Amino acid sequence: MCYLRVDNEKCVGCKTCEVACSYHHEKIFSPRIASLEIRREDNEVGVSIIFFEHMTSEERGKRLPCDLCKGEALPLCVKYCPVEAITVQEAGCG
Amino acid sequence: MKEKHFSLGGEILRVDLTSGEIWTEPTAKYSAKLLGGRGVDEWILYHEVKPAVTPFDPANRLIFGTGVLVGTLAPCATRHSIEAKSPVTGGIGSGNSCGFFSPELKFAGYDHIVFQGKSRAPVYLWIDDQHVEIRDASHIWGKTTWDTDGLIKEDIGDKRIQIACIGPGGENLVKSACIIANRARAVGRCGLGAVMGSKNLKAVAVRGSGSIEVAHPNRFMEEVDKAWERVRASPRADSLRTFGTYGRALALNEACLSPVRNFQADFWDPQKLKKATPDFYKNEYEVKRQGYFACPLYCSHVYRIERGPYAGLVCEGFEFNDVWNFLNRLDIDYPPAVIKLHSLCNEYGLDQDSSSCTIAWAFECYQRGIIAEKDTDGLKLEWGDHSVVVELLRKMAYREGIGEILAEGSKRASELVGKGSEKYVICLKGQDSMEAMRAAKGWALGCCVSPRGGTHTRGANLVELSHEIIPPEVAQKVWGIPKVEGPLSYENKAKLVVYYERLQAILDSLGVCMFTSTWWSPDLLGPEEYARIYSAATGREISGEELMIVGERIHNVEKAFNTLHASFGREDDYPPTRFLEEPISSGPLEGERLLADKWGQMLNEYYELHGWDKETGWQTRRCLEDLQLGEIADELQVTGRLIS
Repeated sequence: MCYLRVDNEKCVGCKTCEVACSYHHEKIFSPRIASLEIRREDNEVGVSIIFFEHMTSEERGKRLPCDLCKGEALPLCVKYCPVEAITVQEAGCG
Repeated sequence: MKEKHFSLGGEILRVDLTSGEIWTEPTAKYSAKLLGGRGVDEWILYHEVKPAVTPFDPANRLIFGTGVLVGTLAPCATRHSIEAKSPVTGGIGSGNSCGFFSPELKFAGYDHIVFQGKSRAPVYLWIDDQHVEIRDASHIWGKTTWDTDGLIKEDIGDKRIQIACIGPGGENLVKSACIIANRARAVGRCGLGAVMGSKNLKAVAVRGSGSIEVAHPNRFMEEVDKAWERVRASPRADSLRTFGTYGRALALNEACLSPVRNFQADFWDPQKLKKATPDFYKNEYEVKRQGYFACPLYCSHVYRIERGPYAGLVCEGFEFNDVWNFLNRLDIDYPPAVIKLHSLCNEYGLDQDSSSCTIAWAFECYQRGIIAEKDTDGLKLEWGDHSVVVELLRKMAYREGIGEILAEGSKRASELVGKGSEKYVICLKGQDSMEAMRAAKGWALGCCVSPRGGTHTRGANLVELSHEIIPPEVAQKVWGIPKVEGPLSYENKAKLVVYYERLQAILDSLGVCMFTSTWWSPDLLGPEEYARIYSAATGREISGEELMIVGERIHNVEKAFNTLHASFGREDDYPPTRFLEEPISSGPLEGERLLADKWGQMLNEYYELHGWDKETGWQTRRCLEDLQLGEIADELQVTGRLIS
């Protein structure tokens, strides 16, 4: 079984994963429906990658749950992340 | 019901700040002819602002534009353009920046915002998708851009909204005032922040929750994948990721392109530069790299200063320009000063290029005894003293003491000071010019003919600096020239300039970053690649060649605006006298300068390529009609500034 591992230290906050994710769900570009969100505050060094399942119901809004990009060779957030801040992990592989 | 337009927000938001009226019109009315972004902004500006309107007249427009590809996965499609009649040149005012503002605006459903009129009291515009409201900004007026950003987020109760705003510079109508998004991303040149201030408009804040749809999703993604791969694989793009735009510092100094002491030299002391290498900043100050929307380049870095007079400062990083501006130009031998001065400019909402150039002019006047401490509020304007620059930036932003004069830019300031100070003004079309030019002829031509009054982001090329690695077949294929000559040659440079003027107009109208393009490196994206992405996105099939014609059209709209509003002609396309008369004083290219007769020939070639008149530099009816701009030809003819 696959899961996604995030590395907030590596993340550059570009939100490419959000827009790629929305494309997988609806073939449109719309970060507000993405299964993940990059939370980045101006002038603060910390960036967090938050997935749907860790959001409150209010934060979820119009978002759609992650299905690991069913039908794609690789989850699109992984494919497009310019810094490998999101990677695919196999359970049991450490 | 809203009509569907691919790759667009769909609407242009119109705001009359005098009456408070807000309305929309469809973007599609303009997009086929002018794409979007800068192209559409300039078209609206040209048609709605007539020459009798002065820059601070409420009738001037302030126009924000996104870009056709903004909001999609096209690499670095995250830029916004802003245009108005410029209070600096009296001609076209135009600038471009990245950040998250542009995609957010597009997700709210708007491709452009056109402001007209002037509010009676300070206001900001709040856009929450279809809800648009003019709000009181009296509690924010006077605040820096950083405080403004925080206060508006507090007002709205959402830290994730996007804001473009002015600081004290714009409020006080400082001619170098800029418009800042994300605290550090500036639409810098041409005094656009002052136009915003003249309208009593402190900020535009936006929250967009909509979507962008493209015409052919699968085809679009295939093209996007190829483009991402090109950008990821390019070694020159990699240098941006590692060092930001500052990566080529040492090479450019060796090429004598580092302005020193207001261009008294173009080569900086290598011992000083050695202390301020890209590696040094990276190792000593960088705490984080960051990128903006859908950006595989992430060239922006966050810096922290831990020691010395500026300890405690954390800010988003500087660009190459800033090192030129705040180290070598002012001969400041203290590397962290550039981080501090860069952040001060952002906070005050001052353009770093113009501000540092005006300050350098004042320093040279002080050096030559034209001004003294009695004129400078007691400050000693001595080269290298960064604490004086800290003080001067504050005085400029608030128009205090000598700042009142410096706030006008060096051209006007020299008229106020007199006493031969005019000789040390380095301006193009009236705007302070930041680039060294004597040792790169094509670069110089691009800067000098730029309609927005200098700058290297219109036609200036970089390829002449790496000419030796460009094979002749690439030169022929890309630019239509047998080979790219080195920077000291005048040959075939006009072709490069015209090529990049067209390409830049396209990039600014699609809303993509120039660092993804062949401007930065020949292995990156050119008109053909952008045409394929554009066609798949919009469903409007276009070739690279046709796209370049649109670029030429946009450039001609700019040019015509300048002819009508500022009467610029051939004489305004010459470099500052210093570059023609004073050779480079030191370094590997000592003795090099620009030669007037060779410049004249290069200019002739440039006008010919555009189909413009060589004698006057004006446009011709034929060239405008070929670009479907017959109505502009008619208007120019009435003023007598068109060659039939």
